[in-house]
Amino acid sequence: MANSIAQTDVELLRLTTAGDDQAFTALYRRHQGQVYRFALLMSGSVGVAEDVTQEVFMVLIREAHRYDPERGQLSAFLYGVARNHVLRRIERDRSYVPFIEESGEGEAIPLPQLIDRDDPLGNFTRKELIRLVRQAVVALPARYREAVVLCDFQELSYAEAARVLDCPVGTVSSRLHRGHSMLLERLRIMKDSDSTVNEPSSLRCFA
Amino acid sequence: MNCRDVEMNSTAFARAEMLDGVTRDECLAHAETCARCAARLAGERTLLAGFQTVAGELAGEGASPRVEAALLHAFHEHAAYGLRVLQMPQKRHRARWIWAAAAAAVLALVSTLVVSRLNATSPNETRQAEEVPSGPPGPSAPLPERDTPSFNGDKKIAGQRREVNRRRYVSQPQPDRNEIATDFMPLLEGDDLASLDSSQLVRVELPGSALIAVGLPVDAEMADTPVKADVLIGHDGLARAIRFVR
Repeated sequence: MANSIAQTDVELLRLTTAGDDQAFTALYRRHQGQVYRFALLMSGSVGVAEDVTQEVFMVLIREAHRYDPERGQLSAFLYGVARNHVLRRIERDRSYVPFIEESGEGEAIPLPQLIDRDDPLGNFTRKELIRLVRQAVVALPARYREAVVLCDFQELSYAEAARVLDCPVGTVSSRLHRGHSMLLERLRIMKDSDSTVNEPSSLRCFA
Repeated sequence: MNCRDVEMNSTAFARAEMLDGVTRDECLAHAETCARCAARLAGERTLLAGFQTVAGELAGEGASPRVEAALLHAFHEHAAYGLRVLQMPQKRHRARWIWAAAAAAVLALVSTLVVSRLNATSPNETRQAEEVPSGPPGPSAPLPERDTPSFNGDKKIAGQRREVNRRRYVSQPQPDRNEIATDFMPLLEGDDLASLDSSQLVRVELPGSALIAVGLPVDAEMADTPVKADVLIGHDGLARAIRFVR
């Protein structure tokens, strides 16, 4: 399997279904990172991310026939399976709650708070920034979170994300927009709570 | 372009996706005169920078080697299991079902024909469907010598030769001297014909496809050609065995 790098996903999958473990390993190593990172950003948990990664590739072992190359790339299929597992896991655990009330999709929300706060991440160190962004993303409602994770972190196009999420491109766009608005508000709140401890009135908790 | 337009385009503006040059320039022009929209666009750019920082930090992240090892183990187990259980038994099951279905089809066909034949027979004809007495056949009912029990020349049906059964059940009606008959073939799987206390033998006509159903090689052209058969009916009225006659 020395030339597995040159082989397409479809070829590797065909060999995998024929029992070629080297082809399976090549396929796994090619895609496990993105599946793992997607699950990690969606759940905020290394344990969940590993479990989901394992489940996704178990699906590939047991039910490779479910993937139809004519419907899209293998990565999109794997994201779709990972998404289902993550959402199921989140639903089961109920560990994460939205920090902002959800409203109708595509609705533009005014952010007057940002008028005099031009940089919500300005004072943070790199390490803090990473922690805060990840926390804020995990706190997003799932529908916005998955759009943000796919488009902003995994760098999928709107069209690719739409295939994974099984929704129109416009829906991805509106969810992304709404997700960004929520994130900005959340990060501003984090920044405020970091600098001013006694401002609980600005924090809305729905836990 | 107003504030709402800028708001709606702010994400695409930061991502530089799905935003044409004209819209982008209009967003920038509006932001120069509107502090609120300027802040919104700045926030989007900052957010994007934050995403990129996180994505860069996570770029090398992946599942631990434990996951790969567990998956490979599962893969090998599945491959072995798939070969052992999913392939061979499926074929075997399928073959068994095909044979069962074929036997059931023949059984149903034969039973239907026999019943209709019995109902339609005249008193003289019913003599042909004589009852075979139980117990060993006496010397008065010798089995005529036939040297060609197989219907298709040298094709023999393995396991179908039962001399005792033949002596016992094939006494009536006997095939004409010009006729060639196969051995009796049980129609019920595992049926012990020797255990029958009494039985009847009925001559019927079946389509050639009935031979295929019991595993005899038949040309496709013969599938609709009627063939003669002797059916052994048990005391319970069920067809128990069949032989084909030519």
